Amino acid sequence: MTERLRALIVDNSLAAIETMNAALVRAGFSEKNIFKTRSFSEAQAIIENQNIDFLLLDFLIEGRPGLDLVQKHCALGVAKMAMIVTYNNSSSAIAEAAEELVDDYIIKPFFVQNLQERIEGLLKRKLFPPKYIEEIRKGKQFLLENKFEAAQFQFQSASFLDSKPTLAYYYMGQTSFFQNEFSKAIGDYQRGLEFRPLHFKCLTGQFDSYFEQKKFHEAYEMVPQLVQNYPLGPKRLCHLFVAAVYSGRLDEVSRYYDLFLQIEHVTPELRRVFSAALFVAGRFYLNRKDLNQAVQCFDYGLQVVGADAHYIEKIVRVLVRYGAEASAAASKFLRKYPGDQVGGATHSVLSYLVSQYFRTPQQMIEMGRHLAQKNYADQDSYRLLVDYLLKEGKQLLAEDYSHRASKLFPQWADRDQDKDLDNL
Amino acid sequence: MSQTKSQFTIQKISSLVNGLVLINADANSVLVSEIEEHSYGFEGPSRACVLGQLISVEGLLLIDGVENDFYSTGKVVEVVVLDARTSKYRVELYRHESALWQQYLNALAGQQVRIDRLFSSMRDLE
Repeated sequence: MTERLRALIVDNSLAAIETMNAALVRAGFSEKNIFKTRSFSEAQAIIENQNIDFLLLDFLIEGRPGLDLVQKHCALGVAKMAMIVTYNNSSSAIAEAAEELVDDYIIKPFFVQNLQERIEGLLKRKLFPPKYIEEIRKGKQFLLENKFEAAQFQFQSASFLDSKPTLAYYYMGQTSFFQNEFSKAIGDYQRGLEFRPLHFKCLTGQFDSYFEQKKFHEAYEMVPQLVQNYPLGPKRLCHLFVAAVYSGRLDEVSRYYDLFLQIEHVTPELRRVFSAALFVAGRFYLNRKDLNQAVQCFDYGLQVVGADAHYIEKIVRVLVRYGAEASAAASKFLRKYPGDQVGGATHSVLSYLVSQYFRTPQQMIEMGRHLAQKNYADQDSYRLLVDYLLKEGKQLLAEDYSHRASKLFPQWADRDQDKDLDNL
Repeated sequence: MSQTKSQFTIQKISSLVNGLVLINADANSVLVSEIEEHSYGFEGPSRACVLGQLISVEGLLLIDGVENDFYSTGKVVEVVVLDARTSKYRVELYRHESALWQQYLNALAGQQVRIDRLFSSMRDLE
């Protein structure tokens, strides 16, 4: 039976490919049915065109996530097999793999005999499943084909075949979830959890159902249970941060910095979401007049996102509104501005804003006029300049600059500073 | 829940007969990709070693995150030419610190067990 199956090995190392190929042949695969490549795009094409049954691959292929290939492969049928063989033993990588439909996760260097046994074990498990799993698999096939009623019926039937049918209830939940019947889905996940209280899929299914309904408070209530028992992958961490922010648990956001550090495969989305959450948390602390915590959040945010000019701009602009001490902190952040952009328009404006607590009014007027002359000045710096001119009794100049600003910035007169900040 | 690594890195391979350096991996260390009780396999430059050659290997055993120098001698028992530039070599261990090697094998097995436990707790065997 195995002889007819088709396998694909994707690995950066030819030596590993050779060993895995030999293991597949020993497991009964025909040499002519084993495809091998080191290229991600070639692997993609093979998956799309060759009806592959068994996928053996590394976690990263040419710097791209192997799990993207797993996703494509497993979307083509419920009996597909996928095994990761990698040097990456980080908990977050394992969590990511487990959340996708990876069947086994082997660490390199592997024991040759163990690899052999695991391949054979997976084949046996997939080709000769117990009745309970076979029924669930039929249901999953209906789910893939969007035949929800048939899927639901199948999972219900499966639930009678096992003394702890958590998985069947999980898929009943998934069937409702895909139809946007989130309350029903939550009910099914909870039934599943009655048999296995820490079942990862049911817990995450419940979390996702609350999240989709924008019930962030309820979603966030589930976070401790998840975090204490399982490592989280980047996608789920993103959702966790969003839930923390929208449920108003801003004081807890920075606590997850350690979790972020454990993520080996940090996606751009995770950087974006976490740094945004930390920025919001920082503003929250500023409103509570807790500058130290605010600076800590901004600092973490900057480490998450890297020396990003736009992020530093946001931090500086918000800090300068909170007095001299906060401005001193802002100037520290400004020193981290990317070197190649120092002295440019934005950097000059930010330096001007930060200076307001440390320079004399005369110096601020000089600097402000210089910025306006170079066409660097933005609304905030015009506003500051006009304020200083008024304070120093230079009414005519103030009116002149105000007039210039109103021409440059149509919303100059009715500007809402906080709204500007939100738009950043 | 972070996992510590266990790996075997080869830094230098010399001929045991004439001391000639066959692989010097200072710049790009060679990671061992497969293990057996008394041998190991890795990918290296083509024609660096020949079948039956007796070699001396300087390496580093990372055991649960702790680095250990590992000097050994051995015999090249398998050479598979992979392409024009690379071959796979299997080396049978001769003289080596067997207690350290055993500790490494145990760490590898333990690492896989921990991963299996975590993986199966998150992923049902469907």
